[in-house]
Amino acid sequence: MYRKGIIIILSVFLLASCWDERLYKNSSVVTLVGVEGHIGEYKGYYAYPNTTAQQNEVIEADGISPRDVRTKANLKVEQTLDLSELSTILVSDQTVREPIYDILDIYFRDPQNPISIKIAITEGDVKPFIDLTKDLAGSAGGYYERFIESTEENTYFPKLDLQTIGSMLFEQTMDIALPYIQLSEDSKHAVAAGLALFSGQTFTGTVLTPKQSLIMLLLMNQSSKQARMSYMWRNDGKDIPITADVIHVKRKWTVNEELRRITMDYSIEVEIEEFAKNHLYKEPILKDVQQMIQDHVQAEFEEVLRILQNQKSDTLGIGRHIRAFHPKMFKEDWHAEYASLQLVPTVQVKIIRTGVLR
Amino acid sequence: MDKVEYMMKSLQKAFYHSSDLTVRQVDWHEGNTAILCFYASLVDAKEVQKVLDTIYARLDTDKPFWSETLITTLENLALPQAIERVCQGETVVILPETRKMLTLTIVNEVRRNLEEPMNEHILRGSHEGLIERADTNLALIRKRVNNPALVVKSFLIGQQTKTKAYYLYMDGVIQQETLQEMEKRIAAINIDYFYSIGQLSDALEDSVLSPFPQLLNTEHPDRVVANLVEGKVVVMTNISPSALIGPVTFFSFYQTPDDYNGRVVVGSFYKIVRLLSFITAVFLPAFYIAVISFHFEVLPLELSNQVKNDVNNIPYRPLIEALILEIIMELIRESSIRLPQSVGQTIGIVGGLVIGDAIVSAGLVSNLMVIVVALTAISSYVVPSVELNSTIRMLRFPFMVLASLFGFLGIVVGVIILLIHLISLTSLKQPYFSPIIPFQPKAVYKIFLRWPFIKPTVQVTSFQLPKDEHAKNEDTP
Amino acid sequence: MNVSLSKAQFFLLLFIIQTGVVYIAFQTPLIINSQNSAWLIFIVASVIHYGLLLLFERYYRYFYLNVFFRWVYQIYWLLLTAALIAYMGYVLASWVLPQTPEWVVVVMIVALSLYANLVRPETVINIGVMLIPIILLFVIFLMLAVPDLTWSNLFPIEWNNTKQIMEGLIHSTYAYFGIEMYLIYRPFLKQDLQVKGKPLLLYQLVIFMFYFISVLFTQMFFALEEIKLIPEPITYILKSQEVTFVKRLDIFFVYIWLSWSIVTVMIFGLSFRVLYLSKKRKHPKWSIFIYHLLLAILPLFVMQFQRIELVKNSLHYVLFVFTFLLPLVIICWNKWRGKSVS
Repeated sequence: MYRKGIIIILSVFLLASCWDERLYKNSSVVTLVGVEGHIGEYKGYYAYPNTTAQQNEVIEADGISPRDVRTKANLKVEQTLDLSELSTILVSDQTVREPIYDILDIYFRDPQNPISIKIAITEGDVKPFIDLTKDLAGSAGGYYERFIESTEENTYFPKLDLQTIGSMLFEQTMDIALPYIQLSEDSKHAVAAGLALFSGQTFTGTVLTPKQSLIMLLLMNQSSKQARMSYMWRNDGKDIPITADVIHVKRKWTVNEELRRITMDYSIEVEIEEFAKNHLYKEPILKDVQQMIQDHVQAEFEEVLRILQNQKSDTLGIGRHIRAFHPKMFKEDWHAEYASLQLVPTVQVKIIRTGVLR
Repeated sequence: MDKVEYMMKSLQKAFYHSSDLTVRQVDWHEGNTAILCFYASLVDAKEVQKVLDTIYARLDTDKPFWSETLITTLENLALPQAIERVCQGETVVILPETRKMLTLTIVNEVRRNLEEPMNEHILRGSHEGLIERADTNLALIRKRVNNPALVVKSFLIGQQTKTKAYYLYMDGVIQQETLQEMEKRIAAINIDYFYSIGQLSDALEDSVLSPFPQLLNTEHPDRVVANLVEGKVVVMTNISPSALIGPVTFFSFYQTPDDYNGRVVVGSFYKIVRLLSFITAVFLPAFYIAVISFHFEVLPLELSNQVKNDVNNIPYRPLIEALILEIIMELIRESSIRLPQSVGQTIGIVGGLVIGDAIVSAGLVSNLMVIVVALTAISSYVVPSVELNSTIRMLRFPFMVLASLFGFLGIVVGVIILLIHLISLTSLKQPYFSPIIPFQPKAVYKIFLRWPFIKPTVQVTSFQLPKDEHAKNEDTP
Repeated sequence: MNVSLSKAQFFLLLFIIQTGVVYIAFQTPLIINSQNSAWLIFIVASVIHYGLLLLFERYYRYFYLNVFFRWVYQIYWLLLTAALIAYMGYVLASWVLPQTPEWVVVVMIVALSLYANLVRPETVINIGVMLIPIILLFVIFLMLAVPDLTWSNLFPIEWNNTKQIMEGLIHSTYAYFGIEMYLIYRPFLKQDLQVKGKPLLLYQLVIFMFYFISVLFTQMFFALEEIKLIPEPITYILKSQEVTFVKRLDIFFVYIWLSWSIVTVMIFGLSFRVLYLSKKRKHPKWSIFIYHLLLAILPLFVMQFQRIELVKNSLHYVLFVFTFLLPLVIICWNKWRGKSVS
C-alpha cells in the first residue's frame, strides 16, 4: 500500500513535470538590447549570437512598450529570445528625454534578467550602434560591456550598473550620469564621448566631455585604476606636455547652513607619468609644476560644478550628504534648492611620485 | 566381520557414495579391524600415514593416553559426529570393537599465499592481506595484538553448510550494548546455505534497503586491529578474506591507512580532497543538467557562449545525454573488471579514447557532458571503500532525474531526503552520521583533518550526546 | 518523548526557527515603517528580545500549558506554518519557478517535513547542523555588496516620532518570532547544563549580528523609496552581485534559503509533535500525518499576491500576541497559582 502510493506519486511527477524547463539549446541568448522611441511607439533591437556563422544577428521590432517590443520581436526568431544573459542596454538620447525608468522597469521586475549590467546613452539612433556588432566574432553585449568597463577603469565613466542606477532613480538626492557614446567616423566602432547628465529621471541634454567627466569623477571621489590628466607646462616660452595620474583623492565638504554654502576641500595626490624635461627633483620645478596642475584642476572643478548646477544635476550626491547630516537644510524639491547653493571648491594638488625617473 | 562391513556400507550411504570419499578397512592391534574414513580431497594422506604409524607404535605400549596428541583424539563412536568430522576434513578411524573413534585433524586445506588486497591498495603500511582461511587470519591479528583481552568467539553459519565464522572484540574497550546487539543478530541469522560474505552482511545490517553500507568491509589486518582497539566488533568467516566491522560511521569509509602512515599535513589534505569528491561524484552531473535546462543565467557571459555553442546541436534533452554517457561509463567499468587484465587495458583505451572522441564528433553528446561524466567517474573512484564507491555511483542517477525535472529545486529536495536518511540511519543501532549527528563541534574537524596523535576513541552509541567525553569518535584508519 | 538536548542543539534549534523564512524579507516592513532610524530601532528591539530571553530563562518552569493552551499553540503553529509555506511557495514562484504549479512546491515541502517527522525526533533536531555552513555562505556573499553601500542612508536619525518607533518595534517581531520555542524546548535541555549568562548572551549576540548585518545592508543598499518596491531585499542584493564564476548568486541563495526554511517547517512540525505527544496517544503517526495534510492544503488558499500582502501586513500583530504576550500571561498566571512544569 505504502509503496504503491509512492510509485503513483512518483509517476505523476515524472509524467507531468518540467514546467519550468527552458532548454538552453532552444533559447537565443540576447546580449545587447537597444531601445529608442517614446511611450506608445518604441523600437527595439536585440542582438544575439548566431552560433553557426560566428556572427551576431539583430532583430528589430516595434511596440507600444519595451515589453511589447520584445513580444513582437519574438515573432521573428526561430528560438525564444532570452534576456537572462543580457549585458548591455543602449538607449537613444532622444528617448531618455522622458523618464528613463519607463524603459528599465521590465529589467527590474523580471527575476530572470540580470541587474548587474551596463547602460549607455547613444548619440542619435541606436540602430548603427547595434549594427556595428553584427560582424563581431564575440558577443555583441560583451563588446559594449568591455568597452564601458575599460572606460570606467580610466575614470571616464562612473562605476554603475543597472541596480545602482535604479537605486539613484528612486531618490531625489542624487542624480545619475550615464556613459554617452558616439560612432566613430567610419561607423566601425563606438567612441566614448563623455557622460550624459540626468536631472531626476530625465536627460538634461548636456553631455560632459571626457575630460570634464574625469573631473566630475574626481569631484565624486571615484578615481579608478587610472585617472590621467595632461596639461601643457609653459616654461621659458616652450610648451612641455605633462601627464599626471591621480593616486589618491581626499575630500571634505563643509556645509554652512546659514549661508547655504558648501566648501569642498579636495586634496589630490598624483604621480607624474610623462614629463620630458625631467629634473623634477629640483625643488622649484616641482613646485611650479604642482602649482600649474593645481590651477588647472581648480579651474576645471569650478567649470564642472557650474555646469552641474546649471543643469540641476546633482551627480555628486550633495543631496544625500545634506539629507543625512543637515536634515534641516534639506528641502523636498531638492533640484531647485541644489541649483541655488553656493559651491566653493578648493583643490590642493601634491606630486607624491614621479615614476622610476626623478 | 559383518558388523564392520555393515558399518562401511552405512558410511558409504551416509556420504551418498561420493567418489572422493575413502572408506577402507585397516588392521588394528590385537587382530581387530578398524575403518578408515576421510575425504581424499581434504586430507593430506602422507601425513595421516605418519601419524597413524606413531599411533600404532603407541598402541603396543599400553599407555593410557595412547590416542591423545595435538592432532588426534579418541571419542565415543557416534555416526552423526563422525560424519561432521569427516566433512570438516578430519580423518576418522572407527574402532567397531570398542565403539570408539579416533579422529586425526590433518587438514590439507586449500589456501593461497598472503597477498596485498587487490581492491584496497595502499601506498605505505602493512601489505599483508587476509585470506580465505580463518586460522591464518586470526594469526595475522593476534600477531598485532598480543593481549588476552582480544576475544575470539566462533559460531557456525548455514544450517546445511555449517561454515565456520568468528567474531572478535577487545574486552574492556567494547561497549556492552554493541556486543549484545551483535550477538543478538548473529543468533538470529537464519541461512541454510552460506557461501558468500554478502549473505552475512545482509543479515547483520540495520537496514538492508539503504544504499549505504553499514558495515565496513576490509581485507587489511591492520585496519581490523585499529577498529578493534576502538571498541568495534569484527566478524570473519572461513570462506572469504573480508572482515566485516561494525558499528561504523559514514566517514570511516572515507579513511584509509595511508592517511595515518603519511605526513600529518598531507594526510589531512587528501582527507579533504576525498570528502570533496563525494560532492562532485554525486552532484556534478545533476548540477550540470539543472544549469543547462533550467538556470543557465547563472553562467557568466563568456562561459555561457561556449556552453551554448557546445549544446546547440545535441538532438535530445540533457538527461538523456547524461544517461547515455553514464551507461557507457558503467559498461566500460563492468567489462574491465570481468575481462582478464591484459585485455582490460585495451577496453579502457577503446572505451575512453575511441568512444569518447567518436561520440562527440558524431554529435551524440556534447564535449562538456563528456568532461562532466569523466570527472564524476574519477571522483567516485577516489573513495577507498568499494561498497561506498558503488553506492555513490548509483546515487547520482536519482539526482540527475530530479534535476532534470525540477532543476535546483529537485537537487535541494534530493539533498534533504538524503540527509534525513543519513541522519536517521544506524549501524548496529548506533548513529551512522556521527559526529555530525549528534553534533559534537569538537569532533567534526577530525573528519577533515588527520590529527597527529591517534588516541583510540569509542564510537557514539546513541542519538543522544554521550555523557562520557571520551566517546568522541572518528579517527580510525 | 524521550529526547535530551545539548546546549549547541538547543540554540541551533532556536536560531533556525527564528531566522528561517523571514531572513530575506523582514527588513522591508521594518525599514518602511521606521525610515532611516530602522537600524537603531532594531538595536532597541534586540535589547528587548534579550531581556525577554532572560525572563524566559528565569521563569520557564512556570510555562505550563493546559489542554486549552496546548491546542491554542498547536493551531497557531499550524496556521503560522501554513502561512510560511505559502510565502515560500510564493517567493519560489516569483523568483525562480514561475510555471511550476504552486501545489507541487507545497507538496514537496510538506512531504519532506513529513518524512523528517516520521523518523526519529533526533533527525529534526540535528538536521540544522547541515545548514551552518550554508548560512555562513549567505553572510559571506552579502559582504560582496560592501562597495555598493551608501553610508549616508543611515542618517538622519529621528528619535522623536513615537509612532514611527512603535511601528518599527512591532515590525521587528518578524525577526524575533518563534521565541516561545525557548519555553517549549527548555525543559528538554540536559539537567546539568547552564544556559544563564554567557551562553544566552552569546546566542543573542550571534543572532543579533546576523540580523543586524542584513538590516544595515538593506538600508544602505536601497533608497527609501526603492525599498517599498522590493519585498525580498536580501535576495535582491545578491542578485545585483556578480562573481567571476557565477553570474546570478540569487538563484543559488533562493534555494539555500528554501532548504533553510524547510528545516524551519520541520521544526515547527516537531514542536507540534512535542506538544501533542506530551500525553500518550494511540496513533501518533496518524496525527503527524493529518497535521501535514492540513499543511499541504491550507497554504494553497493564501498563495496570491493580495492575500500574501494581507498576511504580511497583519501577521506581526499575531506574532506579537503569541510569542510575547501570551507566554508572559501564562507564566504570570502559573506563577501566581504556583504551578510549574515538573
